Amino acid sequence: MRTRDHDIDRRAFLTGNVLSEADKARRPAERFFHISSAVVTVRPEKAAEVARRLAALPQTEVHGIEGSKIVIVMEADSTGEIGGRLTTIALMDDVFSANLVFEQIEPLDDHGADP
Amino acid sequence: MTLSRREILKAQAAGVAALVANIAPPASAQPVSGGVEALQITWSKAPCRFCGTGCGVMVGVKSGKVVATHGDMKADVNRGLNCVKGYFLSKIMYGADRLTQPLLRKKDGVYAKDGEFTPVSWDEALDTMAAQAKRVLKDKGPTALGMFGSGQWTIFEGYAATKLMRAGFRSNNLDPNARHCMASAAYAFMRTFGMDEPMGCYDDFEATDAFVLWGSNMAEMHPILWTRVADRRLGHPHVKVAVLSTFTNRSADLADIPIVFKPGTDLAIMNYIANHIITTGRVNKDFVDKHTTFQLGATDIGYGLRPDDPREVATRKAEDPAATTPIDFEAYAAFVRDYTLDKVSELTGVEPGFLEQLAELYADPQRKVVSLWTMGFNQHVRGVWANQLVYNLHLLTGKISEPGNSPFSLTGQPSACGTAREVGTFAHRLPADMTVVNPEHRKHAEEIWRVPAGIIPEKPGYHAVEQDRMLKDGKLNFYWIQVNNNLQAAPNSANETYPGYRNPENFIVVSDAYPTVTALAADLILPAAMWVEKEGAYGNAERRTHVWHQLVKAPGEARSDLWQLMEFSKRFTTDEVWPTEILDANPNYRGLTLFDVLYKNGHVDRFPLSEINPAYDNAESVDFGFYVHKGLFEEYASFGRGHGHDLGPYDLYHEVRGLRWPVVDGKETLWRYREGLDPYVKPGKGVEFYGNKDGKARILAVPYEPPAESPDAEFDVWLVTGRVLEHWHSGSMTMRVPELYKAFPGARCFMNPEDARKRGLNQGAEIRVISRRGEIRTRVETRGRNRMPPGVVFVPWFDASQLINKATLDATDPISKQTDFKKCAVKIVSVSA
Repeated sequence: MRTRDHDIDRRAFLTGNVLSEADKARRPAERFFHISSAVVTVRPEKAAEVARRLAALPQTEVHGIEGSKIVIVMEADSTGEIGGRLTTIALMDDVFSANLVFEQIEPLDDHGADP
Repeated sequence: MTLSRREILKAQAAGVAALVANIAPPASAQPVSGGVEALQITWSKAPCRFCGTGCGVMVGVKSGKVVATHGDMKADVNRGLNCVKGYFLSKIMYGADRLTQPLLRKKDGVYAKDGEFTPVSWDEALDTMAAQAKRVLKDKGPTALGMFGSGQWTIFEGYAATKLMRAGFRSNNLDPNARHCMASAAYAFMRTFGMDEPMGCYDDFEATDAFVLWGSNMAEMHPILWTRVADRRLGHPHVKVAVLSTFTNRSADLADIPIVFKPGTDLAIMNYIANHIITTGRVNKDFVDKHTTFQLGATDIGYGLRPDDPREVATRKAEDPAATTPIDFEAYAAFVRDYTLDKVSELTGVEPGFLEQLAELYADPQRKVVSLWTMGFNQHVRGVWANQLVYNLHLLTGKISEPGNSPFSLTGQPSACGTAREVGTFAHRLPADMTVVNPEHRKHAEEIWRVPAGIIPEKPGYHAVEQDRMLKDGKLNFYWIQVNNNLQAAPNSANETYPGYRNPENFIVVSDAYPTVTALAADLILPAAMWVEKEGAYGNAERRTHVWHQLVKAPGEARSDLWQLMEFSKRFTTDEVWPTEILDANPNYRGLTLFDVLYKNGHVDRFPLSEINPAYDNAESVDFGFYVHKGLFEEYASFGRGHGHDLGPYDLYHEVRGLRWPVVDGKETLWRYREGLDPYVKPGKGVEFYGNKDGKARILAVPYEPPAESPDAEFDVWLVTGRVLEHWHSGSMTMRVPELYKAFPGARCFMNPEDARKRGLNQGAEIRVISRRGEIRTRVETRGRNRMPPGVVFVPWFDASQLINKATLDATDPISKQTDFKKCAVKIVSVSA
């Protein structure tokens, strides 16, 4: 946090840049890798078609279709990317809802042993 | 990360999802050997901190950070699912611009209203704040001191705040932001059943034959519950869904009966349905005779505007807008007889066929019905009426208080029920549905709080909109805002909210985790711990109380709102804040700090630190030297036990995924007011609405009355405000997520294509949305998810750079004092014109 007067302006507040460059530099630039699964609820008669559209999304795999439910697994480098993609899916035609089920977040530089 | 580990994790994720979706697991699915525990993550339960649904999530912590989350499969509410908002829980804690140090406006080294924000210590922050509060108390007394709290407060925080304000500072000027979202629902519950909150629960969804959405876009705002609605509808072809709104939204995709009505005319639709039930002979006479009484409500009740506003002067005829007089069934039937199909179809603009189909959902004795509503009903100048009119339909048919038959008020904040309502943080309320105007209730609260008789003031304080007016008028001078962004949320903000914050007489404190427009307008900003950075408890829309442990440490010097309230209380002695006559009569209270009187009082502090589960941190308790949360909870719970609001023992809540009150003998209650389901109903009664002394619910006769401001020749379209899927409330958290920002970077004005064409506006054209109060610049959206009828525009309020509340009207329901954010008149003008 800054220590002098007149350092924090309106623009910095509203754009979320209230930290100084020095403060930001102190924070480690950690990078993570996300694997998330979701259940998409769709109009049953359109399930196959929606599944094709989902499979066409980047880093998204369809792992199961049954009735009105489609199970997908998404991979991404950030929470924002996963959430953004989930939002896109939730707003697709013939989709009633898209909800996350499980997520694993791994440090990108963590080459930890396989469990 | 090795490929094999990645593939294993993907298979694991898919397997869990298949289990949750109740479909066959994919062939690739195989459990991680040794289970999820092998990943060296510590898992704990918590409720989501976003909406009022109250989903359970599992939070995975590794090395002091939340590294993984997933929907809690043991949570009844969401059964392993997590919506996009809930997904961002971890993101919001680790934003780069978390506030980590108090910031005080200073000039030349001292506090100055026109100074610049300067980092200060907690001691300097709280000492300056206390000096300002004492100045105001000395000059003007307790009514010049106020606080604006939140439906995102934990139960402990709301409870500590109500004690501090009412019993410490002797001010009832405490109101929550839930006034903007839930007040109409709460008043209607009290007026109809004598007790707040729904009789049913989410289990109704799997037992019903019809869902009716009244002014609720669940598809975007309550995705988990919408999934349960969709599952019921898609899995059972006889189930019907009706969606009523003033424009076509995403929820209409599932609707068998889609209805778009003219703003405000929902009142007439409900009276038509009541008339239909009566004229087709489908009143459940036995139920009505035994369990209801009829009332006629006062009419011409005005619009809660400033008393000298010409529209208020012209429309406010009733002396008491809340007044009712008893009538009988025949008088009620005669009252609704005017609401014929033809007349209501013309008034509402809805096809008669759809109205009849809707009415039949309620009238058909073979069909169970769940009614669901949120802001369309509550943010309504006749919001209390709207809530009561839907109860009328369930009461006339006896479709209430049993699985599948349920009028259900949804909530938008995680603890609007658990904290704002149950704890009693409204300007007129005390815990357990008691009020400050009732001398018996005040006495009871003073006894439980162990403060002298006469401490709690009897006059209700300023409600949310009135607080803004009084700040502007210089009658409220010390103001503390916690866990909300009211400068962005409040109506007519440029004229009625902002001036009060910058009024030189006033000292404004904002506690938040992130910088917001409200924080920017404050004089002191206090950095707050959030969610699992503290031990907490929320209460969701179905009466479920859910507790969680502190799982990680807050960053920097951020402290919980609870710690801030309690630490602040140490800076005042009773001699400084209580009248001499009360201290003369109770000399043993002399010289004590408010901390000693309210918290470390030999009762709240009776549970030692050793009772805290050693596996978890608890920052406030360690700091204050006793188990703060358990002490506050157990004292608070003593208000409701034995009175129909029973909460279980505190430690039990750490074990379960929440319990729905009343919790009697360790057992939760899913449906209230029905014998066999609710232990409070006396044997032989069948149904008993025991909140009212006569055990009966009220059916209210009130008419359609028009909104406060309707379009005219100049301001020719309706403005409706609300939310979108991507951004939660004021967007202070979601707007910082790049992908969400890109998905919906700025507010837009959703508009009917023909309306746009008539004004020479193309898709994406830059426009001004202008009302009599103010204006914003935005862009036209004629496509997309919301399809507008002619004459109605929709602008979401999440965007801090396009403050649509500069244009909205500060008209409220005169009974609930809740703002109508859904109906005012604007004009749309091209910027290039």
